[in-house]
Amino acid sequence: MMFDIIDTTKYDVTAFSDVQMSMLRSAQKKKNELLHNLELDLRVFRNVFLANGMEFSSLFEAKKAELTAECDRQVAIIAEQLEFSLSVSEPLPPESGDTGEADYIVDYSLSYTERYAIVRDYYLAIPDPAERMELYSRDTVAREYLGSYYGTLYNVLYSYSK
Amino acid sequence: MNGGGRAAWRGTDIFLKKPETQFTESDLLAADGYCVDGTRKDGKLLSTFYAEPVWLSVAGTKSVWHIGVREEFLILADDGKLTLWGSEETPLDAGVTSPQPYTVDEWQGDELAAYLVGTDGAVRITADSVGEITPVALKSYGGLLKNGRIFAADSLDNYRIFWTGEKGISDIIANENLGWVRLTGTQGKIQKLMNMESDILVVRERGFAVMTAYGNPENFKVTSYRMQCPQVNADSVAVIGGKVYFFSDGKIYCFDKSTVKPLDCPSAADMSGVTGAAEFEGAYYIAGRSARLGKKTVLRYDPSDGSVDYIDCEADKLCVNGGVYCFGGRFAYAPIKGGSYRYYVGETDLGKIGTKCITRIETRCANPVRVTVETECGTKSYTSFGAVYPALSGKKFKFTLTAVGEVTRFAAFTEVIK
Repeated sequence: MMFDIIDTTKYDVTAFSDVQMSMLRSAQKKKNELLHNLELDLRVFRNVFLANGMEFSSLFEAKKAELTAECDRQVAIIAEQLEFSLSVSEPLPPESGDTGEADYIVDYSLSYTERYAIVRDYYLAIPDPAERMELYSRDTVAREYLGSYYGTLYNVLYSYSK
Repeated sequence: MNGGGRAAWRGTDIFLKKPETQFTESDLLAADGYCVDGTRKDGKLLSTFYAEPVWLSVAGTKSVWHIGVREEFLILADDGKLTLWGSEETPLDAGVTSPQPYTVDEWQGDELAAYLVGTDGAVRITADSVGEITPVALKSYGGLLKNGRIFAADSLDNYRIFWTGEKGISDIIANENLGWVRLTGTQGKIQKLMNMESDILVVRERGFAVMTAYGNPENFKVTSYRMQCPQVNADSVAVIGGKVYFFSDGKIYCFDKSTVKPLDCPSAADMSGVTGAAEFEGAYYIAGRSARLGKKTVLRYDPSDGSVDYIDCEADKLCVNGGVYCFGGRFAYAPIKGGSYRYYVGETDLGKIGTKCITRIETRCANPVRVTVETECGTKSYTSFGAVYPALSGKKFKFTLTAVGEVTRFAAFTEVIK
């Protein structure tokens, strides 16, 4: 996979942990999806304008610019989120898990739903289900951070590990 | 022997003998002919209108428009100078240059203004004033007003059509708020745009496109037609009843939004160098040079019955305002109904080979009719109050009839001599 969602020269990609690589891959995948959808939308509009003899017109150029700008805006949001996630998520040390510190954003000003989404996304980025469940069950920060949502997320992650 | 001799003199032999002479009647209204300042319709001749010349000080007419806000004609001379002509002639200080300048009307507050738009500038004309030329940022030509927007071709890219936003002429002057579409295909450059019913006709070098432009630009549509089309003379194009008529290489063509077809009009071959066209009361008018008349003239073709007539004036451009006004040289020709007209019958042998003698020519008209007969032996003119008796001999004849009012009969009686 080609990575161009962020300027990878700013980072030592080879030193990325599995989780960070997963974040990068996930973000790049979202960008590729957006670009693909943009291409499909442009093709549909091109055919519509072509049928009306207006393929080479300011109308099509304006539509193309509008769709491209919207796509660029969404890609910028994903890139910004990714850069933030990478900045707070340092590579895991070899014996990670018992440090007592979380590798995701811990912000008690967020609602439980938002906390749940952050922790869920973090653990779902771990490709190995067994490793994911082991890490989650030893995550004491999450237990306190999520409160009653901890059990809910446990069940969700467990269902993904089957 | 005597009995045989008597039989030879029996009457039947005498009656079987071919007579020395035959008497024939020829209906000259049914013969090949053409009218000048009149027409032949439903078996009779009648006047259409003739062109009354008015002297102008303009040096040739490049374009002419009728400006409704002043009820005057705006004449753009070959030297680029403008003149308003109505009841009197008003030379203007302003002038424009463009291959196809155009006029548009626009409401500005409570005032209606007309603009003449060229590639170098626009001139504002109101009921009581004519402004100086205002430079335009958008170089456009061949435009028109449609559904509140101005549509025009781009002088810098002759395949592109522009349309303005809400500000109309201001958008042309400032070159802003403009939309555009670039035409494809092999039909050549855009020559001009014309109104065609609720659509816009795009006249290209070798074909036509039709643009529908109602509501928002998202609804706009351009339909290009695949057609075998000769070179289109933009000055000869007129729209009649949703069909496009134009002249090319001695033929009149009709484009019906699908194909281009030449019309069965042999008289069109008489015309060349067409410089102007118009539509009036369902007929197609072109200004050009006539080989028959040996000078510039206006040909009128009626698609409903295929008839062809001429208006005797040396015109370059035509403009319609309750009649076809013709402009050419230093003259404007105002149309006046009910004048005299001429009907020329082409050279005819009156249906019989050999030498004939015209014994009688009959006419039926409320007024006296001037009849001219031309043979290889000479030309004679007569004034007919019903019948004249020329006693002219010849093998072939040409007739010219000059009349005021309807002529319902024009017939020649001949005696075949040998």
